[in-house]
Amino acid sequence: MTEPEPVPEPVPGPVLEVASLVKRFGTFTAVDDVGFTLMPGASLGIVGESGSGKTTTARVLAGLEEPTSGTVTLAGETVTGRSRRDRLRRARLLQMIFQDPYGSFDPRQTIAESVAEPLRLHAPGSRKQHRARAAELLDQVGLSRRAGQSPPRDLSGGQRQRAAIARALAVRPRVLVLDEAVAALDVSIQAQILTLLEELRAGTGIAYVFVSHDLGVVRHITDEVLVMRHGRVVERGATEHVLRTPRHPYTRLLLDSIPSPDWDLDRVARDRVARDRRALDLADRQATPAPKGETTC
Amino acid sequence: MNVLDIAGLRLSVGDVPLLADVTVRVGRAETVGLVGESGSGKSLTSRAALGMFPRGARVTGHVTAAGVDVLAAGRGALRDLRRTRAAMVFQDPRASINPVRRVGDYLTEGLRASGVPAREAAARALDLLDQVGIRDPGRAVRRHPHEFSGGMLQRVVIAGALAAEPDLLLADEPTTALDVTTQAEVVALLKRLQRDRGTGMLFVTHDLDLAAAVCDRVYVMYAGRVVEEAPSAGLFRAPAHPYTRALLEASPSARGERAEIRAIRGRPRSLAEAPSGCSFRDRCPLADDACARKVPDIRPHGTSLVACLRPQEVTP
Repeated sequence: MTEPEPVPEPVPGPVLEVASLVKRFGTFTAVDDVGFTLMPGASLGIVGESGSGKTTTARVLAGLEEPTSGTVTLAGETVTGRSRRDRLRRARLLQMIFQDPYGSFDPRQTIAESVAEPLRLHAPGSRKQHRARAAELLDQVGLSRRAGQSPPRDLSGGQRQRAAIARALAVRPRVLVLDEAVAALDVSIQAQILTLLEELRAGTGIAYVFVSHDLGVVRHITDEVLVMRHGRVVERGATEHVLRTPRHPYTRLLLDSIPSPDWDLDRVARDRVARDRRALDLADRQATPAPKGETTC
Repeated sequence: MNVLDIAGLRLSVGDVPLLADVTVRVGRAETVGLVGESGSGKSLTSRAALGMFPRGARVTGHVTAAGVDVLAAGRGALRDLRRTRAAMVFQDPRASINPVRRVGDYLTEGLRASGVPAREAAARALDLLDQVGIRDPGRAVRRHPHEFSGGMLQRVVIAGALAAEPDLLLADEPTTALDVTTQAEVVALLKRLQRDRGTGMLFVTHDLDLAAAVCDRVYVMYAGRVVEEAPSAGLFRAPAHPYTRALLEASPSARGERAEIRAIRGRPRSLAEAPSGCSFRDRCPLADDACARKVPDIRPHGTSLVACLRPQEVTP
């Protein structure tokens, strides 16, 4: 068994701290003063609609975007650098999963080769050891040996997402950032992946940042949640509490918009008119900054 | 009279069977859901209503849409059906609207082709945009599709679909690409327009909760077959097919008591990959040898019509 190069021993305390994060594109502010802390083994949801800044936040965490200001602290060390050493260190601590992993697999490599790739970068050891570890990872996410020997195009969406999870786990990261990771999957497959993610978290103590528009999914996979709108956090708290007793009108609007057998479309329409943009924006200003005391995730 | 009558529809391309014995009815002013996962054949079925089949498809059965026998109709009759009596709204509005032409042209071209004078067609376009809730229709008709957000453009497409006052509207995942608050608005709009005009709607979706909220009656499809048909309320309170129940148990809900989700083993099948007998039996917790013998007949159980040998074990 090869271990990746040892990461600084886990210090007790948050595995991820984000403070006053701001990301501007030109004059547009995509992320506006977002902050949270994530303890080892915790799961934090970030929900919102398109344009809320949830994906940009995730991309900043993964180092795919440079923040305009603010800090990201991983396992006690601020990650800022763009040098090879800094990027490798960040990748060893934090990995990201996307909605459709098809684009992130080399079409000419088998799945098993792709899963072994990060080991080559991060872990000492022979090719044989890496292959053995890759096989172990594929088994852990429920992929057959045959799926491992296939090119990515021969796998179904659910299998590819399992492969992406296996590859992300290869370096034993402490944080997994999942951006709409189950959004493109059929309901029955989505349930399988959610179950797998729950098992992995219980078994390895990995922490999740789970970005999604789907409140039902977020309820099942996270303990704490941030609700984002126009780049700002409008509500935060324990997921179950926020969903049962939403305080911000925007959170209530999101919940009322979810279809259900007793869906009252006319009420949704009325609420939407009543809480039109002006009212919501006013509430935005009044509700932020949210009390920092509730943010331990 | 039904605005859509599909009976015993079978469809195959080469040796690959895609649909088997599909029966779907939509009455006037009725909203009917067609629910299923990938490969279930729900989109193929809805397209069949307008005579849109994959290249090289062999089709048998009966399809009558807005009084037109679709399988027997010639090109002219089909064109007339699609232009005036039945309309379709797809998932991605940008794929069904010409990006280099103005929205006004999109809305009037169908009307002009069916002989409405230019001035009247333009007035109708303004009226339609107003009805679907687009502010300042006078400016909107001069704009191009890229100047609209996804939700606003889907409203334009809905306006276009309703321009000819069709008897039948086929909506294939019309809100899947939209944000949840926009989805609620678009669905409310579809329902209101449909109620006002008495249009029959076939609503294709993978989202059970959405189907329950929108539809009067729902067909659940699996591997190219209809496995259950029921009024929405009954289907969600008391599913009769193990697949319907498994889907409900696999869907995480944001409301009510927090219930554990239960995954269904395996993956959704297409008809060509499905096992003999009941297509769902290799994933079904209730299956035994009897399920392999033949495709189960449709039988009534509770408020459902279900293709299962022992629905009483699913919901007593």
